[in-house]
Amino acid sequence: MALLLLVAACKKFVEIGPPDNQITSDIVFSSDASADNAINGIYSEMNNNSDQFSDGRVTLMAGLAADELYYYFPGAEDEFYSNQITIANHQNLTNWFWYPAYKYIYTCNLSIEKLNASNQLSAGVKKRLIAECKFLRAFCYFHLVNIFGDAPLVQGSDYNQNAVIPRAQVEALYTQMQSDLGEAIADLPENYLTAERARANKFTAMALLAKIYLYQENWSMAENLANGIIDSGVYELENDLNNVFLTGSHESIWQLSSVQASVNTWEGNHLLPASDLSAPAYLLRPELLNDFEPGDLRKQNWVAARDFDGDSVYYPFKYKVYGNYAPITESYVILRLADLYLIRAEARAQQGNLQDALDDLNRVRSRAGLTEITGLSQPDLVNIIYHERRIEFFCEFGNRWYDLKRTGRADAVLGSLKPDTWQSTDVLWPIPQNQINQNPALKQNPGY
Amino acid sequence: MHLKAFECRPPCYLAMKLSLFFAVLATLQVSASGFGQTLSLSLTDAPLEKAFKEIRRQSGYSFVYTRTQIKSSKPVSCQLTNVTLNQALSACFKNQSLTYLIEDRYIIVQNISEADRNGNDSSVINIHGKVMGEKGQTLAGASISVKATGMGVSTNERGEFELAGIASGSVLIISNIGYLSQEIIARPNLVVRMNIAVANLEETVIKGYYATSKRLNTGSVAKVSGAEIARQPVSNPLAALEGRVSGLFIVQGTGLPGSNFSVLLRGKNSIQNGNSPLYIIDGVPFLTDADRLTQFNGTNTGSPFNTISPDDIQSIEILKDADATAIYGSRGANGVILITTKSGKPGKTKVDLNLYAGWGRISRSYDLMKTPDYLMMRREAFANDNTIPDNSNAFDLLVWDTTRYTDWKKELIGNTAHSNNVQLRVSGGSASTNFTLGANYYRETTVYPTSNNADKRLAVSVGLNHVSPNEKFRISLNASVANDNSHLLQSDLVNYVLMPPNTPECFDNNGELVFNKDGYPFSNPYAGLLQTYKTETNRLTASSNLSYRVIRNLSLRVNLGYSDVSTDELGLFPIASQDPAYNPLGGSFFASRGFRSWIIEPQADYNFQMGTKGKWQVLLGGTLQASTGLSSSISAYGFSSDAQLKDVSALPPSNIYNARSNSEYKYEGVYARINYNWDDKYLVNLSGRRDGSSRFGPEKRFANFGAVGLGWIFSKENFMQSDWLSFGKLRASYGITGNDRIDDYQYLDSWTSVYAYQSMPASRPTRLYNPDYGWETIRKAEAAVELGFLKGRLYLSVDWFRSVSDNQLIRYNLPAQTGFNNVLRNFPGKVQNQGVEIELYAELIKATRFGWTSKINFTFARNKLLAFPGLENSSYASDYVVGKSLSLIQGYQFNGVNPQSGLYQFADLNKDGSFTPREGSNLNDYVVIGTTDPAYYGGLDNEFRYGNWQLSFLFQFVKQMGRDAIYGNSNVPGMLSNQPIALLNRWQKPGDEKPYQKYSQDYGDAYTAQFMVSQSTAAYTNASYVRLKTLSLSYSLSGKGLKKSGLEEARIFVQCQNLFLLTGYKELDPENQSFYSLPPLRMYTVGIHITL
Repeated sequence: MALLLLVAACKKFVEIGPPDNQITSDIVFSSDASADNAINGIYSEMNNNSDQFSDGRVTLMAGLAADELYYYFPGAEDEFYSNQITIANHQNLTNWFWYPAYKYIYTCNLSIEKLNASNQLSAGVKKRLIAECKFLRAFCYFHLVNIFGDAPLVQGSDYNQNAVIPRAQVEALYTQMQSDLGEAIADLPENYLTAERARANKFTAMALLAKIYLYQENWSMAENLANGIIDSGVYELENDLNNVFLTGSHESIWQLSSVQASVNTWEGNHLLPASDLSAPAYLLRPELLNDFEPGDLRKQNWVAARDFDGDSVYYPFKYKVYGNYAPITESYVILRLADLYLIRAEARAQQGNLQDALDDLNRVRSRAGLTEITGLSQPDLVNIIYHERRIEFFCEFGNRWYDLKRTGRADAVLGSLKPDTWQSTDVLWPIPQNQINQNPALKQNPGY
Repeated sequence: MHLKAFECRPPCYLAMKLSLFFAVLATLQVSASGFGQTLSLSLTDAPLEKAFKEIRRQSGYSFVYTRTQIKSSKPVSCQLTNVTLNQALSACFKNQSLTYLIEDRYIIVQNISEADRNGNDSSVINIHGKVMGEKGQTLAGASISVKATGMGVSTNERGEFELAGIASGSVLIISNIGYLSQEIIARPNLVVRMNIAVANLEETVIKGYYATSKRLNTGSVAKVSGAEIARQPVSNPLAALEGRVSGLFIVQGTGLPGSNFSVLLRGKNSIQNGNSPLYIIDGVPFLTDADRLTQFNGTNTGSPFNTISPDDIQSIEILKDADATAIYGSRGANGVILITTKSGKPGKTKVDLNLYAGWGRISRSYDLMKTPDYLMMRREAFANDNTIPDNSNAFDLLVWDTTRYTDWKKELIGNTAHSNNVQLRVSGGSASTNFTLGANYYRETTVYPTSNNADKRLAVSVGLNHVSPNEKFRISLNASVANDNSHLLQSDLVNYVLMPPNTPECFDNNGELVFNKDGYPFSNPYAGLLQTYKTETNRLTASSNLSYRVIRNLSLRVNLGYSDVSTDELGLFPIASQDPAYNPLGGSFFASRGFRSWIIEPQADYNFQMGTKGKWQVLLGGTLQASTGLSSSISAYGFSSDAQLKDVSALPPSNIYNARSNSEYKYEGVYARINYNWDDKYLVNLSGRRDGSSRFGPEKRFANFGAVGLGWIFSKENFMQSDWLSFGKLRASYGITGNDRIDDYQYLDSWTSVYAYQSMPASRPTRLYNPDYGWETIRKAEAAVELGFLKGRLYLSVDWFRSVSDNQLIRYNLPAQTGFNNVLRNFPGKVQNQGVEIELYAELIKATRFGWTSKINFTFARNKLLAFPGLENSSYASDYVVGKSLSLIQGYQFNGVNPQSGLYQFADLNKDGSFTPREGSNLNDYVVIGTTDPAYYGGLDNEFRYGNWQLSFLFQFVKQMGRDAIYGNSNVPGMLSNQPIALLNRWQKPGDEKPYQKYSQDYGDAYTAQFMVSQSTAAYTNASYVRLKTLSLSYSLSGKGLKKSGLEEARIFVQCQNLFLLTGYKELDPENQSFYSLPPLRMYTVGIHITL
């Protein structure tokens, strides 16, 4: 009896606190510093492994799917190259794109809820962190939309509800992104939080929104936002092409800072050969190499060649450091000023402002050591801008693949390049079957 | 005197008992004349009891008397100085109506009238007596019953009892758990000395919080004695259990010293969580937090059980069914293994010294190709692939010396392992205070080229017992400290055995390691010898049991325990072990992990009798347990000098990866047991527990568990009396236990640190928040029959059991749009384990000079997934099939080698027109191949005694499927790697019908086919075996020479482990079935055991 009383009295005995290396949500969002760590963690996670959309997988897979890369060794990734994605790659689609994007969206959603609920944080920090979450959430949806098309629009943290949400229309997702980014632009500061441009500021959100308006063909809004960034004076094009992807590049609007001592950028580790003896895994297609104009400094500085097994092979050389504990000199650039110049050039050209469009275009060309272009018709200018985007942003975060799709040229370009395998429905990759199995409300894309 | 000992044992027992009986008689007749000790008494009108106390204080002799006797006694007055005990007693008993007898160290008070009557037939007598253990210690709670009437009493805390009005000449049955029952003719004054039960049925069975005898046990408990463990030359107590216990399946991970063992008791209950039993050492749970403590371990060594010296073990009890385990509540699901260490024993101070030295070698391995065959294989592979060998793809053929031959197996793992053991034990003390002190040193090297690779243990243990003079208060203490130091390598050298046999010299003329031949690099196994891996495990366990007998049959006790187990690891990756051509840098890792826990378990026992035949035992107790764990690790890379490898401060912080985590586990419970025993015939045992564990969500922390056990000793029924059936019992049990072997903190809505970003701390959510998940519950049912024949010389027990585990805690798959792929939650998946266990014990020959005892255990069990809702769409779809075992094997249906293409081919089972390999979770042409669970297993243990010789051996047998050494290996023959000689029987040209496909050296069709064959029906083969696990031969020296030299006992012995293997399984050892780790060694040891 006494024992029973003893144990009844000790009901609290089995209540334990969290371990030293874990804290509960309530504690995370109870101080400015720890709340900031939570949002800092999203950036850290986005740059902590090579097999995710935010760390090179968009460059690689979209590069294969478009007309940029081919894969040197035979393997499952050939299906991206031939645009014949089968069930064999569905797990990869989940692991590389679907899951990480929704993982960060979940963290953003949870953080927004907890930040809003907390009354222990200073108002300024709370506002900034919510704005950063909205920016990051929009960034994830932007890539989901461009990879898969319609996608579930998840806005809360309850897994019971989130697990059954069907795909939302692309338009609805863009509307959400615009609204998130609008709020982010309003609430984010103009300065960067740290010395590097590693966390989003107001201009980062503006840059992403400018890109989204471009994709939406809202030319005036795209131009306005680009103006805001270019005129801010915060950014300038690097004269030396070899500096563009360095940490502290003046052209960077957002770059992910390295988190592991062994790695500069994961994209560098993917694209550069591991040693003097090995072959690069991803090689540049001859069509892309031929598209460079003679004398283009970008071919000289951003493309490397190696003789392997009797062949000369070419590979991207924007990032020049293969990890292996080399000193950290490069960061993973996601948004940079050249993009804004070409966004504005395209927006202006589409609105008939050809001269200003040419000015923007020539800013980028002259940096590459090319002659200035003058006096073109509007359609020709637009096409020249497309070409310039292909060269300036080759093998860079899926720009080519996304551009071909948004401008409706995918069938023409890829259909003629890969006549045996290309189908119009290949512009969207399949929703991973394992996700459909888990959530039958998800419907597959046509063609799969 | 009409004393008569009834004998129900075989003749040699009778002889033993008779001699003891005569010894007792002798003592009785000696009276108290011969005691050298003197006493002084000064009493004036003192009560007799006071005189007794004084005499006891001075002489150490205790008095046996009743209140009635004292009540009528007269006061004592005397003045005595330096008199003998006898003189003092004479003075006290003068003028009393009482007299006395001295027996052993007891003075038995008798009424003169009774003493006179003693020996005369009288119709009715009153009995008072005392029951003692084999060393003269008091036995409280022993039961005395009159055979004819069934009337019974039990002894009080001083071991005394009274029975009034008993018919003269009645037969009394005196019994106590752990002792042989005796039948004695009633007489007024009885001193009964009990003998420890050696026979199977009466031996004590410890069920954790209480003990019973095998006879009265209602549950399923197996026991392995310290003597059985001592007969095996093993360093790990778990190794000593292999093959000895039905229902217990143990597999040694590797033949390296300090190997880990996988232990499964009655199969896997949990789909995803821990399936290892709960280990308890002297009442203190051991390693409830982790099965192993190592973090970087690549060689499957560092078993924490290696810190326990087998010699320190008194017995190991294995608790299997609900009746035995429900009292452990949420922790009892996978069974309980109780390790009891040696404690003090009264007697003269004794020194035991046990020394042995051993030699071990690998017993099984590949027969590998020699150089000519190897070269032929390589050339044929190039020809098959239409590839022209050149310096870069065939340097073994074109650059290396093709006449070289090294037998890498002999070179790297063909040496002799040595073991040395020194065990010293001192024990002794009085019935009131006694002790044991043990010290052990053990060292075992392995079969590698250097003897630096060794596991070394130093262990010291102590056991103390004390009983207060009034025998109300008892205290015992068991403590041990141990250090186990293992120096091994980061990867097992077995991995290098398949190097080409013409691999160039590994050292140059200066004795330096060579990493290339003419610029073509090769892997040098001696470089691996520099990549060391050390683990050091420290263990401190201490437990104490304090008990106080408040009133007759009610005692209060408390168990206190503390344990501290920790392991430190150090791995070095020196520059010297790497090819200098790549400008290598050095690396190192450090890790430590430890758990500290304490436990307090108060308990009350109350035993009482209702009526003449009904005995009740009631136990009520509680547990408070807390455990803290701390682990940390450091990986560092980038050293420019090997001298700095252990000094991480030589590196910039960015080259150092640190991790640290801690955990806390708290557990509490109340438990109870009520046992009713009617006339040793009908037994009911109820046990239960209410548990709370910090591992579960706030809403699900507490739960109730319980069991009922029933026994019917039908051989006691009148209608069952027979000469040949001496014992028959039916027992059954049913109950619920739980499994809390999950990670800590899984219910927390927590965030954890990730890589710092911009040098600022960063964190991420650890998991989806699920506050309400609870126990996995297991319902266990059991029915058994136990039979003893021929007066106990043959004993058979047959157990049927079935357990169904439910409420499985699994990672439940979610669509990734939730942010996570799964959430840990309870799930209605059901797993069943069902089987039959048979144990047979036979004293086949029991003569004075010759004896033969045989024990057989046999287990036949099946594991089955009963239900798994939504299996098809879960990530477990390819792992499990409802209706099949959790250890399911699936794969392709092997169809031999295609005579045209020379490639392995497989059946199109889904009849879609062609064979299709598995695509992710789409299994296509997969078929269920079987299970890796053993179909049945067991052991046959024999013990022979002839004069001073003793021989024992244990055969272990297992019927199972295992991986085929050739088909099961994804290594393609023809590549730059040696192969078993059996692979010479390969396809060479169209039309060939051969078991093995063509050689190939590239990653083409043959590579794919080899990969698929390794997941096909061909990759699983019969891996059944019979192994002579242990053979032990010993000779006890005797004679006058021995006594003269001051030795009490000396015994020389030879012991062998894994001496002989009978199996159709090829190339590998059928136990660990591993391509990449050392098979269990064959060990021979020679030693001597001396007792001073």
